[in-house]
Amino acid sequence: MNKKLNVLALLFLIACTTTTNPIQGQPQALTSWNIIDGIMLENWNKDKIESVLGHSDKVLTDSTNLYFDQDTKMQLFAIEYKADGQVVSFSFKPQENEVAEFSLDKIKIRWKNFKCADKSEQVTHRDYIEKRYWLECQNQAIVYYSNKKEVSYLTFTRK
Amino acid sequence: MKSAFLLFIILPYSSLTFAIDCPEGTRNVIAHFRSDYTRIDGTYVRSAEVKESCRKYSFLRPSKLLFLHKTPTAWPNRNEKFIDWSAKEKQEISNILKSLPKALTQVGTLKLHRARTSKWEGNAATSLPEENIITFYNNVSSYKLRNVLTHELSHILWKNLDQNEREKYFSIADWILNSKGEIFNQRAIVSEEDGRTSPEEDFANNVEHLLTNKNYDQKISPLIVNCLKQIIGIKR
Repeated sequence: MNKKLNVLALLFLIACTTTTNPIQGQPQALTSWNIIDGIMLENWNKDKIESVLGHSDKVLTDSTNLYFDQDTKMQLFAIEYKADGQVVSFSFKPQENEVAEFSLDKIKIRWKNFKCADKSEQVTHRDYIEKRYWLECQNQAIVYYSNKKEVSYLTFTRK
Repeated sequence: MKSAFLLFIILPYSSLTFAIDCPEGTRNVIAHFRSDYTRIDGTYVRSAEVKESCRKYSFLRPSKLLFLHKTPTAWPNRNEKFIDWSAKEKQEISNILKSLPKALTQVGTLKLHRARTSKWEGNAATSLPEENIITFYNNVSSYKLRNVLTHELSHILWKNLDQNEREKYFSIADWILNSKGEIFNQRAIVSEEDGRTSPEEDFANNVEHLLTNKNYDQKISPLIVNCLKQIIGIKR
């Protein structure tokens, strides 16, 4: 009887230890949040950022450095640096596989201490009337989102 | 959960052909590699090779046309004078709507208003996409009604698209977001010059040209055309 119990216990232990880790291979969402937290909270400079992101893919005339996702070729970060490599401002566009990590609700919880408030405005263009929605935080971070509350991009400007 | 479901839609825009003939009201999702991701509920989804399939639009609703003569509630251009529709105008619009793709027309209740003159000189129509409202002005007769209607319906379609689809258009159409959150375009050629003002206006211009101009390929790149065809669900 004891032998049977030991076998069952062993099988149970094996089953538990071989359960697949739900977050494998460090998904991109964690990396993106790491970089955002690094810039906003730990003052990451250009060298530190590019040690994670690699060199920028493009530099705009206003000296904004653009970083694209290597697989989808879609824009990830746009970062403006001072001459000494300190970050002046950045924007970030969540990728398809990061939508859950960058939902409006999760951002609100994560940035609770930044005292963010929902804002909206109606903009009249020549042939259409647009409604804009954003989350404005006291730390100069802004999250722009759609009418369906899907996050489009976020920006941060250092004071 | 809905957003998580939409994560399955990954369309490689480099491909220009569809193997499956999808019925109207659905669009092709081309075979592609799907990266692993975590759903909002925490479920881990493994990466996979997704086969080509047809997918229904999430926003399609049976269309209902309302021809209205009063000022829409919350209409910002308060000085515009709203009037009644003529029977001929109603018939023309109804006929055109029947010939347009479902992605543009099956949007639920479409509220069509009629006013004398736009606040903006030379403007034939204005839409309020979030309310499914389009207002037509007297001078619409100077333009091709099909073009104007297609353009304004494209604004409503843009509002109906999920974030991933908008982002794909943003990327394919060479829109750039700078570090301060300003959006601008880098394309040498646009189908209409005001398309440089926003991705939404650019999208509406390009859909209008694609569906109404036989020579659209002179002003819209093949990559954008393919992206729009996938979004609208048309093959021609």
